[in-house]
Amino acid sequence: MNAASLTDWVPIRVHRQTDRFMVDWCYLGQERFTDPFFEQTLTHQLRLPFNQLFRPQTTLDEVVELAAARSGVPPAGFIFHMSRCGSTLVAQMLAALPQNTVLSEARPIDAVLRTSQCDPSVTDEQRVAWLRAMVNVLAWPRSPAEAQCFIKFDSWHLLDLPLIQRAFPGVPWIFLYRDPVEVLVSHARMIGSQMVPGSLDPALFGLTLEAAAQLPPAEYGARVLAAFCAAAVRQRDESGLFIAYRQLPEAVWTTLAGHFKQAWTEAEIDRMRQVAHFDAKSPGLQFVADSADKQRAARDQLRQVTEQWLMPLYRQLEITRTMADVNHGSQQLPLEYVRLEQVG
Amino acid sequence: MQEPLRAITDRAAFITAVVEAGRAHGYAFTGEDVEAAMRVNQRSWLERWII
Repeated sequence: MNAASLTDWVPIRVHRQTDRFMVDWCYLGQERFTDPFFEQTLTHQLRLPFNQLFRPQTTLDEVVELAAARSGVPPAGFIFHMSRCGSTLVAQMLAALPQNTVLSEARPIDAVLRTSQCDPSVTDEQRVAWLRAMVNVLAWPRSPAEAQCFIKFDSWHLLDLPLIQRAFPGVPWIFLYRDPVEVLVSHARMIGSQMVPGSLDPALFGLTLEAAAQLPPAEYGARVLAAFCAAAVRQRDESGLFIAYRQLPEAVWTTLAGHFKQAWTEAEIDRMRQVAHFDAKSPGLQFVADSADKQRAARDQLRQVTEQWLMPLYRQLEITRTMADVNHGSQQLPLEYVRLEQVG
Repeated sequence: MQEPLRAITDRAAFITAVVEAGRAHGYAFTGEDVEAAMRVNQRSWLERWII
């Protein structure tokens, strides 16, 4: 296998085979990643009989060689999020522009970050090299227009931000968040994989697997989300920007554009604005605002665990975001903050 | 060789074309062999959550 023979192919799966990590590839051709999630684009492609038969394999180390032989478009921005907070909308808006390759929760990226969990001998240096290479080959341009890539990570990948920043120093990132009551109501209606005890290492949330399994779902979920929000607060640096759900979609062509150093035309902004009229996860449906509905649906127990585990962090996110927006000039200091300043 | 095969969307027609292409290149595998290989790959995709 060489870079030339794998032109128009894309990694779809990373798996362990005896003592090596293997990568399966699928033919993608000129298809862009315009579906809400990476996996949906692959599902379409894997319906083709050709892709059901031909499945080249390489090792992860060979992916490093492939990346060295042919460059992908560089990452221009990373999207981290607490889940169910508009991140798919942001990804879809960016993917609407032909110059953007958008990798939305790409399974091979998650698999690379998790290699150390299934093989403790994997070093951070290896994960950095593999992550760089995997992003590179996923971002091989499929059309002359593609010039940059944006990666929307899975929500738990914020916990790997230090390693991701080692792999891609200086790439700006955003953290999207929402009123945690609304996020937990969303998971109560349709649980995300990260909210199932054992899908992520419970030690990340200060729990054993046994303790995690015995918690009410809302409380376990609150502690998972709290870990993500705490990581955002703890790790925010000059390359990080917080964006609240209620600022969408306008924040994409205002604060996000500046942070990601994008200079979009009015026509491009209008194209993104049109995307925002539709449900990001089901683009055939019109978008329906649901914050009020989720607030009404929140039960006392959910509100109690939210107050205990999440509201202090949410307030920190809000304060940090607001102060950054004030410094940027995009927002005036709220009156309650002016009073605090006067009190000293 | 691959490009004409990519354009075929009907599974049965695809398998026939693969067998014929193989024969043209000196290989003697059957349609059942092709089906089996496709099933292996489909299963590996279903197992993608396992690293």
